[in-house]
Amino acid sequence: MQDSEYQSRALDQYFDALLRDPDTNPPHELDAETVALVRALVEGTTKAEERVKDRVWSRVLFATYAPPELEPTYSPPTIIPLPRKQRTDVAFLVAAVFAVVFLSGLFIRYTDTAKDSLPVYTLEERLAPVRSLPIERFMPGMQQDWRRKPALQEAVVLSRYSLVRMPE
Amino acid sequence: MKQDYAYSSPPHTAETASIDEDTALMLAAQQDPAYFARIYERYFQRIYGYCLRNVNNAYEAEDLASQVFIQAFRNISYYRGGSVAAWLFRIAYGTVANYYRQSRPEVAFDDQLPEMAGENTEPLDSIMRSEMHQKLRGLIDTLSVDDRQLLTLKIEGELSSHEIGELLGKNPGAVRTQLHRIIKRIRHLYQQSEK
Repeated sequence: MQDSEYQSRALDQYFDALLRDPDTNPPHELDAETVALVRALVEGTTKAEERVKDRVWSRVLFATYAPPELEPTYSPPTIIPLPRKQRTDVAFLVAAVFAVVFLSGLFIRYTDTAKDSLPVYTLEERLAPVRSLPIERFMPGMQQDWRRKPALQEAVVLSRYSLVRMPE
Repeated sequence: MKQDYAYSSPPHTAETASIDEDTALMLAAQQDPAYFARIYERYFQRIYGYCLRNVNNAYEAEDLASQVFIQAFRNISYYRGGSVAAWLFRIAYGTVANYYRQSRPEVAFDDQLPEMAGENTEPLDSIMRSEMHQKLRGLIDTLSVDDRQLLTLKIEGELSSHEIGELLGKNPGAVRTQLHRIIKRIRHLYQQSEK
């Protein structure tokens, strides 16, 4: 028998002996490190608590004696894919938000531009008699004496009040 | 609350007179299932320990141990004598192998041991030993499935090389050689981790 076979047999016998009696002496075929390792492996065996033992026993009895319809069955968790409709809804919501933001931006920009384009008159300007109005363009024959006609002056002033831009 | 698994010694019949107690209990359990409680009481720690060392998860181990005993209980009529340990561990081996075939979650060993019995040694010594055991568990986890199964059958299952050989379809000499090789490998890995 070869040396390694002796060692294998000695190791096996030491395991068996150690599992029966933790204080058993090691065989001389094994070196100290191997003996320490084997001891550590055997010492590290796991011991379950009584309640684990009771719980498992209850499961065994239940599985054996309970009617089949009561037997708990394990069904692996399944991954349910997100419905396509839901994804579409999310995409639609995002698009709607972007659209609202974009349209709001456009509206604000438009209103700012419109505000800038409106003529701003002071009260004095509004009430002052209009002298530069080229009334002759659309009222031929009134060039000389339109300033003397109160009704026409009133119309011009009113047009200023209503912020209607008069043609230059 | 301690449950009562008790059912006293198996009845002495002509059939059970010349056989060991486990075999007698199994044969008695075939007639009266209540005797199976004694088998459970004798083998629970070994089966549970074997499952736990293999799956490294207390909850999975509990589940696997339940499966083993449920199968054993249901198939007790198929027991035809011989080593009860080998018969039970054949079921356990198949259950664990089946578990390995399915996707095996990677769970840290220490996170999943909520109900282990404590060790009654000096505090510092206990810590050092605990660290060593922890390291050894980690090293066992790096072994191949076959090596881990064989080692746990030996350590936790407390099976002889003859019983392991019977279970794995090998001769006892081959089992001893493989065990020796595994121990040498663990020793080598342990020495490397110490450096």
